Amino acid sequence: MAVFVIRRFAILLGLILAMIIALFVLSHLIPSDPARVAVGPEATQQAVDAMRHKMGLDKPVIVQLGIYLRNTIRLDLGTSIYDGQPVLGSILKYAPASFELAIVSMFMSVALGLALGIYSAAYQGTLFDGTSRLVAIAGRAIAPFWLAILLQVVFYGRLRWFPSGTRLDLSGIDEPKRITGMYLVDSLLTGNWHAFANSAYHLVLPAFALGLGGIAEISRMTRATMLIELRREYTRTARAKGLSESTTLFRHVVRNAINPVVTIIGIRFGYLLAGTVLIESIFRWPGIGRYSLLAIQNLDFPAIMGATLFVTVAFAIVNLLVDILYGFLDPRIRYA
Amino acid sequence: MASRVRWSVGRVNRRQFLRAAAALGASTAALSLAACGGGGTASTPTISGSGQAATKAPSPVVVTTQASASSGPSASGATTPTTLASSAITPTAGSNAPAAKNQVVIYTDQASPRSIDPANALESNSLHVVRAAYEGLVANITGTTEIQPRLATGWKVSDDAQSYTFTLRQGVKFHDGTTMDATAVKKSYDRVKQMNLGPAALLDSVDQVKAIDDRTVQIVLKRPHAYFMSYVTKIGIVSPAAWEQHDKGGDLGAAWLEANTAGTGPFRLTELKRNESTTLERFDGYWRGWEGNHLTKIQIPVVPETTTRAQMLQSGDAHFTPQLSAEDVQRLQGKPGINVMISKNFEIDIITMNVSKPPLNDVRVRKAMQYAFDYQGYLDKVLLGNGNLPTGPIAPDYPSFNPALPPFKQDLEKAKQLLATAGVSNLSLDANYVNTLVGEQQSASILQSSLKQIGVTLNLKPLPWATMFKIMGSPDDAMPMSNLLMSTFTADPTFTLNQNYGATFVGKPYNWSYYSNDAAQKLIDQATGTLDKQKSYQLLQQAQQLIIDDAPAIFYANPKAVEAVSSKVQNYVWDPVDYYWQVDWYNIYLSQ
Repeated sequence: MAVFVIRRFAILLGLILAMIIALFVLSHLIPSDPARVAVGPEATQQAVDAMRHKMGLDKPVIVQLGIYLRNTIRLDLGTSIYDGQPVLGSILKYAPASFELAIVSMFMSVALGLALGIYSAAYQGTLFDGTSRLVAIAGRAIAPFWLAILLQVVFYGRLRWFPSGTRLDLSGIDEPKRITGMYLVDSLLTGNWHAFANSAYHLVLPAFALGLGGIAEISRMTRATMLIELRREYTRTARAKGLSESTTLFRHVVRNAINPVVTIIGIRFGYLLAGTVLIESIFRWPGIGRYSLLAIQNLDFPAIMGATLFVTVAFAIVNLLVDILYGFLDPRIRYA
Repeated sequence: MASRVRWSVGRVNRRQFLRAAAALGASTAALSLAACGGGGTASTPTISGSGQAATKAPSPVVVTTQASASSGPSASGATTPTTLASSAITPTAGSNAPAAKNQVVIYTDQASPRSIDPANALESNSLHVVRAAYEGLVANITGTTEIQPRLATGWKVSDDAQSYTFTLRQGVKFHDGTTMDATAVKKSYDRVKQMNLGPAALLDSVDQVKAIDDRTVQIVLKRPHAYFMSYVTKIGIVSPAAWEQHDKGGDLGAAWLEANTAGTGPFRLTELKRNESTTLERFDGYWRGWEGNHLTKIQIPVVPETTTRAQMLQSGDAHFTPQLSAEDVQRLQGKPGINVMISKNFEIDIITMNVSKPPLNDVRVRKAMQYAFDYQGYLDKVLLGNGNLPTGPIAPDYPSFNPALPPFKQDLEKAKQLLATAGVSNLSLDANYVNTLVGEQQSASILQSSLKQIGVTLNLKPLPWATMFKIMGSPDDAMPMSNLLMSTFTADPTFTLNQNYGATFVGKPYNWSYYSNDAAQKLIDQATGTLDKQKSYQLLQQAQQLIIDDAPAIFYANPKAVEAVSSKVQNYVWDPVDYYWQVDWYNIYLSQ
């Protein structure tokens, strides 16, 4: 197991290196003038040149790449051209918001997806099954950002049931004391029920917009594997033994059907991290997604590279965890 | 007995399934229709759609922002009947509507301020903070190009327009409690030059700033400049004690000033959460005092999505939502609690033509391009009637505007003739524009279809702003055509002309026509040093005519400023000589 993990980390490092080089080359191929962007269009040419020198943009590309690699090892991801803040600091500041949204969304997807999948399999062929198939197809087909706007228009604009966005009300409530940066966790840890309720309230729409696709995928996959397991001999044996239907289902069948779902969770996490970009923009969620979007719009290369690096690492680690999780869920799987 | 009933029962046949699916589909459709249903509560759009008391107290201030301004010089830009003007209102200064208890204004911005340091900040979002917290020696009378005293009580201009002397107001305190005096002014100006960022360009003509005594400041220019006062309005005075105290490694307090304000202005920064929101609160020691109706707090949440901003305005969660498209504003027209303001704007939108390379180096080809564009079409379809047909590089009512100039009109026959005379055929040209700006994209499209009719192919290249800068700044790479929305952030017509058509700006922002005309430049330079406004304007009008004759750009629009604002906002006037969307925070307040 240890060897397996170490090998995976080595692969991850190689991946990061390749990515940095690729991004670096790409960013220098695109004609743009970061120095000009930093000083603004009204500044004199002299000011632009001074800024260019300050940013090290007048050095040869290879040297710049070397400097960047060296700094990255020292965990210095550079300074954002747009707002002048250290990139790593900004990323760490915004990451918890995205994680919280992704995790809550994942919970929603898994809980609802599993429930829908299990009951669709149990009630195969009924109206319930057909309806959930429709929901699944719609969920996969609907673009998350479109759904996000629709949810916002209906549930905020028209019905005023939910807020328009951000993580907490604009006024009248303070952030919970920052421990992890995830408001639900922090407010629980500090006993701040008001903040907990308010954060949860603000999470509903964005998490659902992000999670609908996951509900769809998970429910379909669960249903399929459930149906296979339901036809196996051990199921017949369990029923023959006299076990109630629910015990059969939940103690035996579901546990065998879960593996592929875990795979989906891993892949889904990647989509969540990517999908947050637009959802965060629509709901004004101060996370990595919004940070990346701004960076791209401003051709803010240090920020773009930092954010991309971060997402890559996060995605790789989550998938590694998922693979390790397999080992626990299914004793048949062991890693050499 | 344990139940042996299997849970998979009751297969549904196809007919039942289809019926259920149809029901689901129909109900979803009904739900979405309810959500997107336009018009809302069908209230007839009236001027006092908000139901508030009439605020028609005639204002003594010259506020020239009335929508259907057919008086005086702007008559030359005949407007087609507008779809919005009739129900748009213009709050006049001096409103008497009773103030609400809650004087916290919510202003939604698309992005956080890039910088809040007055020696660095030069764009809309950043200036929302800077203009609230810092003041200059003088200020514009909002809505006009006239100047009024601010931190200075009086001023004298030398006869050669090269020396400006200001008498400072006594007893003005900075946010940190120190007193504003001549030394503070001198140091603030010097700091802008030393930092050498965007705002330093505004002080290009300044040679030195002298503190003659405690309450007298003299600004000596390198060359005579009759319009220098406009720049004085842009330089905010900072407390030297504040930045000197927080200087880090010689940065002149730049780092500290990105998180704090130290000006004399009515509001101070209390919170800046990047990419989330900015908050400013009243500065109790403000020299003009707080009698009368005023805001207590300014909240600026960052809301990048236009749909969200529009909804927040409708639901009352925001009072200002700048940067909405014309269609968005039209959709908000008549909704309860919203005023659509249409204000005079000195912006001229142009498509630049690179005169340094064939085929656009031939003035006949350039004139052909001008004749090809559908000006009326753009005004009607894109601006929805809110604008004037342009007559040249200067907009109506802007200093040195020549009302006798005829508006540009499309004439495809003339265009074809000119091309034939110039001996060009089968032209193919590249034109770029900023990919996120709808107005630019539409003008480019209109030009493309117009040019097709005279046998010219236009290849459209949408680009991000930063890339456009790079390409257009390089003489080799610069495309034949580019698209610029030239707003006037000063009342200096010499700068407005030089910026696009001046010799010192060739190839730099924004002379992307790579154009210069010695005779016109001489006139502009002469006008810069002529204190007598009428004489100066005459010289500039001659220069304008030369520029128009050379056709370095297609002057395709003079749009009005269209903004949807909460009807609770009182005394808000659009400022046409500052960066977009600036608000006179001290003068506005919220009604009940």
